Amino acid sequence: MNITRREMIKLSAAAFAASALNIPFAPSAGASGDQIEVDQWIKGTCRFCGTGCGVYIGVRGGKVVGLRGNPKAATNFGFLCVKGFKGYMSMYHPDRLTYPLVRGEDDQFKRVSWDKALDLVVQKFKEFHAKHGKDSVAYYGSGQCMTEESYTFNKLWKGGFRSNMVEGNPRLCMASAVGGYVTTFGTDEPAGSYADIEKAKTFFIVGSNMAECHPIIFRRIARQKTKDPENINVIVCEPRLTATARIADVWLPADPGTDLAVFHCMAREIVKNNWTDTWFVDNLCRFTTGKQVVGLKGYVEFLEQFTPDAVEKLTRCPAANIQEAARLFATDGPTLSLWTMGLNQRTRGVWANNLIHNLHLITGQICKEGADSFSLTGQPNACGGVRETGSLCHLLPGTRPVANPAVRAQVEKAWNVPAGTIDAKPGFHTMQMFASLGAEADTAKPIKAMLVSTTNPAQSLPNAHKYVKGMKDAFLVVADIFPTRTTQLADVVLPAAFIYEKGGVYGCSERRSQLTSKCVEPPGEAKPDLWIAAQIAKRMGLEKLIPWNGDDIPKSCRMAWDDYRECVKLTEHTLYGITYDRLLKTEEGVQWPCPTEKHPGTARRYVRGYDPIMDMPEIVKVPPQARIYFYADHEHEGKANVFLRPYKGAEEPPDKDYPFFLTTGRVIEHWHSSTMTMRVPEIARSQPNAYLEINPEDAAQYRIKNGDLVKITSRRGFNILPARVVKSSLPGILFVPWFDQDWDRMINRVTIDAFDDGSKQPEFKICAVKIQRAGDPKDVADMRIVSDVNAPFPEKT
Amino acid sequence: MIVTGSALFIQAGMWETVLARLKEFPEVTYQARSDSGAELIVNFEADDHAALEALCDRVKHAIPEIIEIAHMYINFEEEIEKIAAGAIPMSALEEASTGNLSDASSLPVAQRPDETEAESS
Repeated sequence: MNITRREMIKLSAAAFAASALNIPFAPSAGASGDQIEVDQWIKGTCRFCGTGCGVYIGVRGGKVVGLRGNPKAATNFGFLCVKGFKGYMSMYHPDRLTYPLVRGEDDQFKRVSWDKALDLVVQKFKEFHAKHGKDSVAYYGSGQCMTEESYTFNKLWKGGFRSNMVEGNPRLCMASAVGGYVTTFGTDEPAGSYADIEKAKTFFIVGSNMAECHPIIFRRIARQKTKDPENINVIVCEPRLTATARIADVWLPADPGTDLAVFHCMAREIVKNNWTDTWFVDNLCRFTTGKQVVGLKGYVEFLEQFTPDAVEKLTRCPAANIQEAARLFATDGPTLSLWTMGLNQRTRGVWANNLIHNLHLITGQICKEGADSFSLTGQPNACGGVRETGSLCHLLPGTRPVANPAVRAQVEKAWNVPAGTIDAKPGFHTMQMFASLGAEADTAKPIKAMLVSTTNPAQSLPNAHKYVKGMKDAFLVVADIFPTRTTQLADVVLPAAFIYEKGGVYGCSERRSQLTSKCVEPPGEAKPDLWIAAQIAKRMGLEKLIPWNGDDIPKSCRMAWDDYRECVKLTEHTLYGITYDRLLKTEEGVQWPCPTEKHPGTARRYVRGYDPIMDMPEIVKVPPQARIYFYADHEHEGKANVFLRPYKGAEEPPDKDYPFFLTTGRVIEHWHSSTMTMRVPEIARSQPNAYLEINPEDAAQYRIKNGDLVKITSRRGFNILPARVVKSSLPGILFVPWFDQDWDRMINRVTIDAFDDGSKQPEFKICAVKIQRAGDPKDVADMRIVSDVNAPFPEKT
Repeated sequence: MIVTGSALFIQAGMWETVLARLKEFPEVTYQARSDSGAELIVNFEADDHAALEALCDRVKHAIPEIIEIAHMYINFEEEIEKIAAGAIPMSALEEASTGNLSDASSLPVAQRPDETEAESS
């Protein structure tokens, strides 16, 4: 029997889905005919959030034509989400950048050869180094670069240029989580794994609309809830009644920036009701103000101010909800907390992270099955690529501080560079870096050039237009796959390859490294960032430092990965046992710490029998009798810090002039600044423009109806957006998604660039605004993208 | 055309009911079920991703015994061919040369989105 190609695809698709769920399936004999669905299925990971879903990429005729979930992946068990399976179509959009461009004297980009573009970049970098010093050229990367790429740029700058002017957009999304883990536990990243989801009884979800931002993680939680609704508890702390909050048993709708009081109040309830874990508190907790150790008594006294009634007045969060949340958290575990930007993008982001950790520590809801304090990362490789490789201004590989002489010495040895090569002084963090970027003649701007890779700071920085002039005046090199707001400001644009056109390793939220193999060729002359970094190194005379500069990209990736493995071999973050060959073979990747090729990887840290570091005295010394031990404790007592962080609200709370909270976020359809997703027609049609969510009470007061245009103004700038009148936003709180590239709907013209003292992460989530009705409904569904690389950047501010 | 391999998670003991109702949807092809009957394997066929989403919404709405629809395999080769050939119009997405719409009154008139109020809780 002959079957059509369509029928064959249907049978293959069904057979795959059935196999993934262990469902018997016997296709008709005709299904095994001559036709094949694809030429090859190639193992990889999804790149549209931080979950790290395992996928197989279907290649036919040199093009990616299909995607299927990897049923053996520990992250997604074969399931795909809408975000993942749509975004890839942008790979074939005609706007792809396909050859290098250099801006001419007429301000227009001209096509040049790679040699000419790279020679120009290197010539300018050398000139600036010679005239203005090693720190005059900066690198700004991304949690979407491959690990090998971030590692290479980091090594080039810190080991080659001797400059710590290395940053990346994870500073904008995950830095407070890093700060929280490091201050509480002494080292970055969670103790547990996604596998805790299926073991947990109570979920505490804070500042995360995971239904839209991490759909596969949300699916795992929702399935637990659906299977056992009476015994699985979901608590959501979030000012908006999001799709995530709709499955909550207890909703904690605190005003933006006030949740520190809610967390302290929960701790107070836990202590008052004797719901603490005495053994954990006595053996594994240190109560501290950050300057002084105070003991449990001091902590209890400190918490006394956070009574439910007082906190309700401060936060608008009902006292009874807080009390019930505390009860469930402490008494109906195992309890798993999960959070993202709502906690991190704050001027008190580190403290907010600390207070979640506090709850887990005093109740002992950590280091056991189903219990963990787990930060979800937003980007696919913020953890693996940037945090772990130390590609930030204050870090070195292994998430270790550059200021530590012993760490510098070890890295210098690993990199085979002379002692003293690496600068002890951290570089500038992201906001300081962009504030310091400017024209060569501008003596107030010490950074004269920047290479930006795989990110779009002209749209994604808070208070964005403040930094436009610096980007425009400096020598700006941008490597990306499409024209963006940032390429509009560039002097040189380098066409980059997409993940499936190059391959490499991503490390997701649960410390899991997974390899994507190269699937197809990049279009035109586009090249992987790894190649770009290595070619710059070669032209700078640093080919010994970065020897992986050949055209065999998989080989170069492997060399860079091996170099990185060696560099972090004897650290708590060791992934020495995670070889490329192993990553090629394994279906689910491997979780670090993983010191040897025989080690299976670590699902739970700090627990003897699970975590190999517990028995590696060459890295840390752990008492032989210790079952649980926080070995990165800077006091060498094996304890974690329970912090008495004082209450402090947002940097810019509403006042009489600017009476509303503005909070920003993502939507399910779009990825970041929508440079990829807005190029997929049905995504663009389904979410063509940003909008303003406003509560009906507020809307009525301002005579705003659905669709009316509203001018939203902060002390920094304004947007004009169509209104969506919804009850899911509380009175006094406005929400705008940040994906829109249109100048009048680019909400980061309005957001505040104040940042956390510790993490230096900006407070995207909270600022004060005022609104006015600007007109009747208009069609703004224009699906705006920067399509023409020569389109001028908007001049108005 | 999009073709999926998908799982329908359904209420216990309701698979025969669900199968009967699925016959109302020619774009959905039943392929297999688990021994427990709690999961069905089907194909969805739709012109594009938007149509696929709409179809899934209609199926879920029409058959309340379906708890969840989960896609595990997506084939979009025909759509890729169209995009690569420029058959899907992208010019509508072009940015205006000024890139600036600061004057709200200059915007063209269009429909009022009226669904959001109904969706809100």
